[in-house]
Amino acid sequence: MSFGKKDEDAESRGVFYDKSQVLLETRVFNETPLNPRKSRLLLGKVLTLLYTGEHLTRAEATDLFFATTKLFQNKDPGLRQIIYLLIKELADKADDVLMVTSSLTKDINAKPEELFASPNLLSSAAASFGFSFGSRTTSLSSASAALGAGAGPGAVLGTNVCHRANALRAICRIMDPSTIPAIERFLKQAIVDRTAAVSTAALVSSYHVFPVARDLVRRWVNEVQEALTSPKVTSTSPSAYLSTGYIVQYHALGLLYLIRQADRMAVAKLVQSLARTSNVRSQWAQCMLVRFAVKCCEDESASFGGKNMVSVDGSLSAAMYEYLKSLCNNNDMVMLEAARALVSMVNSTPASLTATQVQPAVTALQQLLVSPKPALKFAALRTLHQLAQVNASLVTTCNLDMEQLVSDSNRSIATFAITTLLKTGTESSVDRLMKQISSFMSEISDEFKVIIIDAIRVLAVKFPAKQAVMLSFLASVLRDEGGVLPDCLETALAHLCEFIEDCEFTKLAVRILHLLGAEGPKTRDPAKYLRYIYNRVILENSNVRAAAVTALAAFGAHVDAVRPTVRVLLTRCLDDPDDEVRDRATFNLAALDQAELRAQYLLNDTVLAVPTLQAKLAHYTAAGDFTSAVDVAAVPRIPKAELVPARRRAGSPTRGGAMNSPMLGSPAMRTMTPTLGPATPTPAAAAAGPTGASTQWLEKEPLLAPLLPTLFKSTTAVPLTDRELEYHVSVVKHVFRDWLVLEIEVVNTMPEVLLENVAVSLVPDTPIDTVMKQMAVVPIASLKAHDAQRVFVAFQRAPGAVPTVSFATKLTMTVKDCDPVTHVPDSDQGYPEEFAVEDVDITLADYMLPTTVPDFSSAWDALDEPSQVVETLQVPGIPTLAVAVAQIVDLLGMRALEGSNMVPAEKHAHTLVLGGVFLGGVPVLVRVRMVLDAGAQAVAMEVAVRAGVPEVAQVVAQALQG
Amino acid sequence: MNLTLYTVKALILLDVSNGSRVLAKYYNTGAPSNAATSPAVATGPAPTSTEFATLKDQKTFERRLWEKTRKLLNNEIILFNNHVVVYKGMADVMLFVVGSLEENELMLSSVLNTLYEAINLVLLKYQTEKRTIIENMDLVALAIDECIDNGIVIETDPGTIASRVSKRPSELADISFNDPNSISGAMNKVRDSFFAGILLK
Repeated sequence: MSFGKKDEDAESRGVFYDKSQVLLETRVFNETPLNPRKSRLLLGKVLTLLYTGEHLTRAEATDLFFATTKLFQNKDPGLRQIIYLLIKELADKADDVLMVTSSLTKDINAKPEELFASPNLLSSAAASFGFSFGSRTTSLSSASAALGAGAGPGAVLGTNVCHRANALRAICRIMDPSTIPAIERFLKQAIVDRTAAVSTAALVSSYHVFPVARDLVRRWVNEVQEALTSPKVTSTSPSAYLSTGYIVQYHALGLLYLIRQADRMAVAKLVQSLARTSNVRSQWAQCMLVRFAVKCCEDESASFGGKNMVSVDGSLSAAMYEYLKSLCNNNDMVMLEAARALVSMVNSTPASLTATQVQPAVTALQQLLVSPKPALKFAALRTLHQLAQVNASLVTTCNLDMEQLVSDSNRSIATFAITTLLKTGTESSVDRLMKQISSFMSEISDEFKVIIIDAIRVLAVKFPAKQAVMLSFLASVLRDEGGVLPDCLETALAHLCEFIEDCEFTKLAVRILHLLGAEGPKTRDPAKYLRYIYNRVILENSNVRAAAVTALAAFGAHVDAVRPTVRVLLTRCLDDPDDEVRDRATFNLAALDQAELRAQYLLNDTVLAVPTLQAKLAHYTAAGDFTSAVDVAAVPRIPKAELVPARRRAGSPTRGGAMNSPMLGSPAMRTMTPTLGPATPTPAAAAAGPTGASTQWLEKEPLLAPLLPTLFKSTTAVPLTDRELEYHVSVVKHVFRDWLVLEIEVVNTMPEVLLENVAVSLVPDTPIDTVMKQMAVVPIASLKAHDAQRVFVAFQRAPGAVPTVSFATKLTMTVKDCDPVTHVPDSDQGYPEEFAVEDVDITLADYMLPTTVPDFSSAWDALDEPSQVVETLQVPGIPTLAVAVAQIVDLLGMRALEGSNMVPAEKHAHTLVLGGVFLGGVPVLVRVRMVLDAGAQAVAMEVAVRAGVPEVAQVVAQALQG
Repeated sequence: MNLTLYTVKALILLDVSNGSRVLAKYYNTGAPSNAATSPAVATGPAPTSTEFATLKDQKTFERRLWEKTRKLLNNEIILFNNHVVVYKGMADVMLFVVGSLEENELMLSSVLNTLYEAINLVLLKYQTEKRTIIENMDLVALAIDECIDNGIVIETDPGTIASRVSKRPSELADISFNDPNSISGAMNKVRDSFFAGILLK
């Protein structure tokens, strides 16, 4: 047989022979004398056709079948064996296969010398010699040993033995229920044949025909029992294979179970008696026995109402458990089966094994984990993984071994290790695991990706603190895989959809909705996600609803087909009770309808650079000039992708995290439109947070830096001099828990003088010694022209004291004339000078941080009623309510809530609500009802203050009175 | 839990270079069979499933399996398409044994190793590779048949399996047929038949 050059192409496609050519060649089966070698080779070709998937029509198969049966005339053993195989392969493809029954029956019954009596003298002699050899009481193993060595006579005998087995296996494939009784006698005898091959053939054949010849096979139960208990060795190889030598037991046990499976008591008896003795020597049979034992335990537990019967002394389960436990020290295959059996009995029902009871299995699996064989490691891990699903704590003892396998070259093993560790691991190990997973996510199969995503989902619920890590992981998976593996993307999205159906974490739901909005429109069937998202609109809180609206809009913007649907859904959101949701729906509806807006806002992949925007807005508010709008155009735009790391650094995302930039910008700008009138907000109200940039000089002062952790607030700089004077002085007030530090910046504008020992003298207008004490002054040693340096004055306040005071302030210094260029003083002799500046005022606003609350009235109700302080005031000299509002906001340093800082022009009554956090983190809310008496230019107010601490409410109320 | 003797779902040999099929046997696929003549096969106690019922299903499975494993020949085991698959490279072909998800991996692995060694044993004279497997399909097919019968593992010792695979018939008939009249032919015939009888070759 050789392959021509032109066939190589076909060959590489798995086409080795031409079917019609091979079928034509079967004519050689009709030749006389028949050439057995040629015939066998041709049947080899036929088998190649069949095994490579070549289709034979029924007629072709039938013709081939009958051509093959002609070969029964030849008695060559090598030919006969392959005829049996072909009969089996064609049994369900050809018609009238029953026709060969008699030929096969003859072979099963034939005496060996009859079977292969050859016309050739030498062959014949060899055959009869072989038979006489076999007919002595020599055991089969020595006969097949001779065969293994390749000796001629033994080979004929061995072949003959095989042929009876092969004929048995073939005949069962062509019988039907009506004809099986005809061969009952042979099968029954063959089961107890002393030759293992024949016994196995009979047992396996009985197994195959059992469903159609149930009653018949049941009658052979004694024979099967005998085959089970008087084992035959099939192997001739040295001891390495000995344990596999009793394979007949495996088949006998399988058949016996099949016969008895309906009779629970009989099965229990069988399993128990076999478990007690050590008669089962085949490891395959032992594995089967393990499975039957588990079945017995399940059955017993079920009949006792789902109880853990292993713990009941004297029960069948207890005996079975002892048996399984003893197998945990067996060879690998049985050990694995037994360990897996025990693990399968751990579940969440009362029938579950206890932790102690399953311990032997865990120990056994742990041993397998360190095996060098991939299959062993895989099997052990898979079992531990299964156990971890039910009870992760049982598996933690294996954590160390599993961590070794995380980097295993077999990705299946590595993935099982990781997903198990995700279950059993502690919160602290999550980050490390996630990093490892993402490093090989692209290399593993989709099935495992699903497993991993599942594991992460569970983990997200377990450790809410790590949700951000997990979500960013999921998001990156979706980004990386999205283009390449749409299947995986859709699987992951589907998971997420289901997840948000019952997700209780707002933060998580918001991020998932954002993800859906970003990735969903790219999938093949975007419409199916709309339902999940709209469900959120119906069922969730306002934060989630807002995110869902934005996600819906993303679908509408990207996918033309679903835009009408989205528009309908968004229109329904216009009635939402939450203003943010309404705003978003309105905005998106407007944007959806116009291609231009759509492109600008919804399909825009860039956002404003947030740090720049933030700085610009802070500056804008601090400057206090609201006559012109913020110049957003001057803010650079960055791609969305670059925004992600920044957001991650900033910590947990807020509601705005899922929004795109126009949404961030517009409401903020709206509140800043210049309806405030001439009134300017106090600089304190616009102050940066406690860690604003204004502490940078403080940090460099070794004396004061240790105070920083207790810093509550730093105000913006307040100038204390006019710009025309020779020295420019300004002050920043740093309020600490127990300290107050004034940072006084001095700028020397005179080139021809050098200032030395610049200090500050502060004289309070009221005695403050009881509540506040000046502890230290850090002077400026030397101040050159155009140089800005700072004097620090530190006061320690009495605990809880929040003094409001006004300091008469002057600088004290030594002035030296100097060279305007080199700043070298003309002489060492200087003269002292004092320089008075404006007063430094410490007000209540310095102890207050403005803040916002989501819902004023519920927050108001949440604060204790007893803490409430109510004052009524009559304030003269105020022309409009807007002025009154601005003054109050200024004085208290609090934030006006719910837009109450905006007073409609013609109104004469107004309610102002304010929110703030007082020193020490005490929440403060203020409600001011005011009525304008236009004629008297006076405002009557009723001020109500509620705070977390009653004293604070008192202080705040008094501040207003003054 | 598999309480039956049916362990192997499929046995596949693929060309490692392009994933084309060299040999594939799927067991108990529930393929349409001739109910009149062989109902026993169709309704065995095996959990007949239709997942590999058509050639197309089978080839798709093989193609994807090959894509997943061809670069990871040393991994030996993979969870694939809801099956446990153990595999091994043999020169330019790959040998796969497919079992159900719940199957004992070491049983499958044992079958794989048995087949691997048995095929090597019956092809003793040749290098085990795609071409020799095709050229000696009679020997390879018989070895497989002596190891797995319709999904049931019947023997796990490769030596025993190899010994049960019959040798090919001698060239004897060929010679007498091709050259019946030549004296050297006659001499060859006598010589060959002598050795054939002694050595069965």
